[in-house]
Amino acid sequence: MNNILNLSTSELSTLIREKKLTSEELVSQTLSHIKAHDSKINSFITLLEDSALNQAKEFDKKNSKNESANKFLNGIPILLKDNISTKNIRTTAGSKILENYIPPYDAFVTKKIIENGGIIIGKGNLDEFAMGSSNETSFFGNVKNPWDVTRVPGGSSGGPAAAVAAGFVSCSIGSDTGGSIRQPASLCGVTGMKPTYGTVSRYGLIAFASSLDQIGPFAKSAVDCGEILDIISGKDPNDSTSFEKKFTSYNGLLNEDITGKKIGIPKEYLKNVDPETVNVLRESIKEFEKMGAEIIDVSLPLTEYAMDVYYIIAPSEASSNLSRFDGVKYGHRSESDYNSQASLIDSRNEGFGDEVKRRIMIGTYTLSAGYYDAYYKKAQKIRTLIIKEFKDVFKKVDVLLTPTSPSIAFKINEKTNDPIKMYQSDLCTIPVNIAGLPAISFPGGKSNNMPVGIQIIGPQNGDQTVLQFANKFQEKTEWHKDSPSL
Amino acid sequence: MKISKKEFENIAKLSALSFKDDDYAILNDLERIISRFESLQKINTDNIAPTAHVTNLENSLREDIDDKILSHEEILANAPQINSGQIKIPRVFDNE
Repeated sequence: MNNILNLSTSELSTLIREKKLTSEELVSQTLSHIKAHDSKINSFITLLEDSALNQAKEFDKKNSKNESANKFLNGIPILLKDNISTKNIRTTAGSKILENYIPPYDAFVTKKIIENGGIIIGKGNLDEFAMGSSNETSFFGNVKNPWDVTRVPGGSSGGPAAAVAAGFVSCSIGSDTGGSIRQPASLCGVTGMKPTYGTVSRYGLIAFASSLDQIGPFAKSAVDCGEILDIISGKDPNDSTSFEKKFTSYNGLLNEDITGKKIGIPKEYLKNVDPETVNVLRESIKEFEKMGAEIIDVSLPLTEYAMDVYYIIAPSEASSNLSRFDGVKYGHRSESDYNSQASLIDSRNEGFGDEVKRRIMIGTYTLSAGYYDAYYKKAQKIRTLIIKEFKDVFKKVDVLLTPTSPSIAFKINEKTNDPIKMYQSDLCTIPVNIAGLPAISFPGGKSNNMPVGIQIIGPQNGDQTVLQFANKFQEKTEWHKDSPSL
Repeated sequence: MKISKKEFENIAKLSALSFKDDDYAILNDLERIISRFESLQKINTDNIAPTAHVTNLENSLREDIDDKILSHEEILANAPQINSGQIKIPRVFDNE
């Protein structure tokens, strides 16, 4: 791989600012690299070749005359998951039903990235409507893991994660409903963060489960994730669950050391996890101990119920959110010419894939008369208990350290016939969404030549602390600098 | 947890989906997944309020300002079928 394409976003940003690298050169090299290798990986649904090059040239012109303001993403290519709306650029959510949908407006996060000088180089592949843990449910074909193309990249943000791992981009944007940023970050050996619920506006994000969905960055380091969060966070009147920035900088605690800080290891997160992954976690614990952190064993007994709570709440919200896809105003409309009711059903039948249908059915069931109290309301009550359990544990420790995924990247088709097995890929990430917490996954080691991610979870609005711990680990280790050869 | 064929068809109807007779693998999946949820009944949730919002935000209000967001053309641009500047929809009434 070319040298420039191995650099982190911070490094590229500095080179461009100091005029040692032009955006045009970076974008050209990026495009050739993508064109040479993405046929193996399939991380892009849409590649924006011409517009990216034009924007790069325009930026360079301004920069050479010192007319451009000093911004982190100036001239840097970035990939957006294809469930994030981009004005006049097709946005599919990985579904046939939106195969030809061209949003007439930008998502909040898209606008923020453009304002910061970022160059949107394409739209990243994903599981259909972000429903999946392996990127195998995408209408546009599955994404392959750049470390081993016979394996999955994780999901649902498989494209954005694989693209960073493959050196196609130095950073990308994903969304995380039950682990959809962190699990693929773990399986692809990159850093990915889901901030506290409400940090980044969901305006323009094609909704899956609104009380769980949160947008966040992928990059080659925790520092870069923090920089990107500074750009995309903040109150948006178009998303009433978003809030004003809590800090001047997400990286505000990076220089403070973690001596004497307490790291909790929840024992429930080690159950059902491969021994090799547990070994990587144990090694990372040693690193943190060397830095002076205190390790405390803790217990979160409700963890074992989190997956079932999630598979009630998320499909319930999805069944409601996806009712908008009726083939009337936009999206796929069936050719069948019956009447409006039959056309509606045919459009949805033809437009949605199996996993999406399965989840709509689960959600409709759990919300239906006679079952609402037993399932949905019960799940929301247990959610209250899970939130409290986390609150209590964070009185004792500063952060939690866990595996991100129970295993390394699994083989393509290994779990496609068993939805429950597939759902269990997110055992360690789901509880975080249920409680709206910030968490980051970053490479902690290798097993079988595949990357293994570890996860730091913080209390609500403890995003700075989460980044601080991940950064300390990355200052002392080299795992995050490792990249696959394509 | 058994789901009868009649109940399954009703859920499909409420979901605005339909399944072919030989497509009932999804029924088995549904039964397996929903059976798992039974374990949640073990947890005592007496006097526990369901979560309404995860970060406990209070009302988030803004001024009610009239604002045109999209033009007529922009809205029509994504419509599957248009006719005389309107979205053409499938027939609503039968027997015509």
